[in-house]
Amino acid sequence: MSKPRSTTPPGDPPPEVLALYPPPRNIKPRTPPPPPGIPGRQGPPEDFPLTFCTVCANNQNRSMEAHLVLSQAGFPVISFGTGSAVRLPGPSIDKPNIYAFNATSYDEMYTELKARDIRLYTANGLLSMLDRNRKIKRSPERWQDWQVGFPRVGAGPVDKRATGEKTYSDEVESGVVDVVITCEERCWDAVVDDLIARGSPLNRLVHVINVDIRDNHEEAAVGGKGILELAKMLTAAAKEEKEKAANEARDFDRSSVDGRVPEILAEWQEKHPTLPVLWTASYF
Amino acid sequence: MAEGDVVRTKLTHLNSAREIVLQDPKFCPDILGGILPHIVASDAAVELRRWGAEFLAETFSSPRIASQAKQELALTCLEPLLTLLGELETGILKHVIQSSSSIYPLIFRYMTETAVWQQMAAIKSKIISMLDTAAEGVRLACIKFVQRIILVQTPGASDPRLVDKSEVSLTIVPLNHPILNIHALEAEAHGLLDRLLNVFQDGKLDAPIITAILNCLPALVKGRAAISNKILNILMAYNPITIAAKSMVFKERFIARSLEKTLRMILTHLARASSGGPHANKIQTQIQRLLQSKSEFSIEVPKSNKRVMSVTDIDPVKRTKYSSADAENEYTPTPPPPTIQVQPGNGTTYKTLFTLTGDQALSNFDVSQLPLEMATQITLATMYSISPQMLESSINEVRQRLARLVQAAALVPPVRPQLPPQLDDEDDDYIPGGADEGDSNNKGPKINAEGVVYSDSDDSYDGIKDLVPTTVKGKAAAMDLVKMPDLSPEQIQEACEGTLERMFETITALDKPVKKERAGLNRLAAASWDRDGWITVLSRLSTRGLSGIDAEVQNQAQEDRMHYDSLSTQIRQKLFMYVMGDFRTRMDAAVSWLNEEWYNDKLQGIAAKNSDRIPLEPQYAKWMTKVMEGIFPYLEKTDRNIFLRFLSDLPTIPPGVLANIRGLCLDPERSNLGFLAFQYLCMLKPPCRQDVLDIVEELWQNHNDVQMSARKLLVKFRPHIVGLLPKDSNGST
Repeated sequence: MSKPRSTTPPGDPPPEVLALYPPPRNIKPRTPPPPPGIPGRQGPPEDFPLTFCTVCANNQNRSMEAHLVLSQAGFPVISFGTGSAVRLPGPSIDKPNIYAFNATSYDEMYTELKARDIRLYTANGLLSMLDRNRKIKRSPERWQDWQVGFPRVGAGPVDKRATGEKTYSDEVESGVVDVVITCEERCWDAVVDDLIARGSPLNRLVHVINVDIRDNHEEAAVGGKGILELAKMLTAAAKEEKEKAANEARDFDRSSVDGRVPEILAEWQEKHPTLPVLWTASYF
Repeated sequence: MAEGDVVRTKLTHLNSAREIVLQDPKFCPDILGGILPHIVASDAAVELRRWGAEFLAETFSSPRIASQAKQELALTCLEPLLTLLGELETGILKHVIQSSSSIYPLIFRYMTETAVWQQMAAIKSKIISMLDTAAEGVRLACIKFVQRIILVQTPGASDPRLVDKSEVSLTIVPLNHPILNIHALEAEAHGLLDRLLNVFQDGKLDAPIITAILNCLPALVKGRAAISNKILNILMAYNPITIAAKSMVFKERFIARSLEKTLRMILTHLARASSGGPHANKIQTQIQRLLQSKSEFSIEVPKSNKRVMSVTDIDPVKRTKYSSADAENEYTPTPPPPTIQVQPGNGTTYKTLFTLTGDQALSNFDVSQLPLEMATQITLATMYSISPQMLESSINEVRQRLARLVQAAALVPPVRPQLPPQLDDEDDDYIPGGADEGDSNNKGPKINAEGVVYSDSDDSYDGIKDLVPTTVKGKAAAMDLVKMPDLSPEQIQEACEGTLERMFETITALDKPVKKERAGLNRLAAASWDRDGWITVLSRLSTRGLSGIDAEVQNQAQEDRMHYDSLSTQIRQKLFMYVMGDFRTRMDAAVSWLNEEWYNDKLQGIAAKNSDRIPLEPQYAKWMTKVMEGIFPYLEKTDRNIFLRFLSDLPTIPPGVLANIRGLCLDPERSNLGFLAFQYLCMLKPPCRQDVLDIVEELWQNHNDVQMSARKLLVKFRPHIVGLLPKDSNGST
């Protein structure tokens, strides 16, 4: 009856394993794409009628990759993790590095891990991942602790804010988003469940979409691209509907972007059969 | 042109006003009062009205503004909202309706002026009129508004401990309220609820609407006891998959999957919320049903990357609580068996023995009327969904009944009423071949005759274990089945071929799990039906399971003078082909299979030593060589890891394989890989070191182009050959 116990508590993701077997002699660091120096939002806000939120277990790899990609393309985007704590791979599978959400910043994690074992954490790509993340925002945030509707302005990394320069967007002024994209079915479950539990006090519609991505750097990059394409498709449809509404303001436009979401997702899924997708329309 | 500029300037001002509000909500009343006239005037530019609607929605849903302040603001905004509802643009309407949903409870609580109520009622009826006809985005907003109305216009929790002071419901309205008529309001709420619930019955697959309604329902079920039953009943009967099954277009499949998952999440949420409550069982059953119909229609995307989350896998703490509570709830004690009082020899039939339901109609149902296929499906479905406790308790029940029968039979002296066997509708086909003799008149004496043997055994379990074959034996003696002729070797071979094909189809269809549970010593081979499990089953079948049968059939085939490929050979051949199909990803399968072969060869060797049996032909070296020969043509430089790992995971390296590696060394393209393999074997597989070094030495002497690489190895292990001082004349040991 009883299942074998894993070393991490159930419900929380086991830390990703990036070990090779047998270890090749020259370990090439697996790096996420280096954040290029392209400035963040490239157009006026009305070019991006939809706001996004990416969610994964730890708010480190998949959601941050998607966060980066979306913000580079100029989308208003924020990101969260649904786990109970931030778990990063450690020296062995049963010794993950565990940090608290919101409290420990990416920068602190980076410094700490670098001091602990620079070779290991360079080899498995953690350092370059954290380095990327600390340039996007201050610390990993937990979905369940997110106070929806509180304005979010300038939550970016501290050093960037001091100089007034914003490299990546991490803000949604109104504090609500139109689309939540999770990167794993368990995260989708957690988000949908949490939205129900909150009782939707804001009365605001939100599309919750899951795009199943494996938790490693390569897949995260592939998934990030897919998510970007999805965001573009949704945004294009939203713009189209908005223009339609503006042009023929005499009558209801018969479909709105909300009604077209399933259609767009199905179309997207056919192009990306390896990223299983799931969706629901819920309320904040 | 000038007008556009004016609008743009105004928007800039408005945006800076909004920023101030976002920074500090206490400016909200002043700013809202200041800008309200500009943004809703019908002659205002559409951009301004759009902005205004959005700002109103944002303001009234902001968690940073106290509800008292919101209520005051709301009173000033009723008129503008009503005006804006006359808009035709989806974006504006969405935001206006969102604002209305937020202020409805506030206005309802305030309700002292008839005029205000009339305005609110006008807004309400306008929005409700859009519920079914407007654009989809507007309808989604309407659904939320309707949910708010239902929440407000039904009585809340009556238990004073559970009452949330900030919650607005009919409970706060006194019966003799001058403006509000409680009964009319409640009736309206019920009517609206029915309209929402209608979507689950009209069979349409309007996905955004249905998921939105689904996500609205939990709040109603949890907060409003008066209507929760009605909603749950609808949810219990709803199965999006059966609707979607009609059309299996890609989009519909995706929608069905999403609907099903949403429904399941909501039920899971409700089950957790009401765990221990009267509905928990029902909800669990429905969750199981959904899971089952999902697997039947296999709407899961074929390649799912992750393990699917188990139903209750959300919060570990809650889960433990939940599952333990669940286990108690789910356990429904089996109804007291109706046949307990019946004495053996007085109408005890197999039917009464196995009947577990108290439902007369059900127990009289003649199962044999069902077509075989349907019966199979029902049985499979039941086995799939039944809880282990339930099954356990049912089995125990039957065991006890049997035990009682045995004991009673031992105590009561055999009576043998001379009655003809009764063939009536009680005959049931639970036991094949036993149906026509299910009557105790025949069985009684036999049990008694045999039962005496067990009468001294108090342990009912032991008694039963032995009793069952006894009765069956008794039956078999009474009836002769027509003996089927044995299958001919050909037929066996054919059947085996088909079975194997099916198994391999399954294996290739199964995806390799992304991440294996590391169970350590607790791991059982082939405990889970994934790809690895099947490979284990097959390799053990070929090595151990079938040898006995094979020997038998082989003899027969020899008598018939025909060629017979033994079953295990067939399996091996199939496994070999499977590995060859894609050796890079299926190397694991090859490794585990070949290890089984090696182990079995060892076992056979030991067995042959200890007895006179002729050992079976050793298989490991043969197949190992075959696999190697199969992959050698395809090996590339980049396969280094997989190839070395393969070599290291195998127990021994037959000489034939070494010859193959030698071939690799001579291929200029892959020479490095070959020497790497040799070096690896020298270092980590001492048993074959000498053989390897012999080959390397030969290479060094005869082949100029690989002399350098060969020399490197020899320098290390046989320095004397290459003319260096012999550190150790025997190579390093």
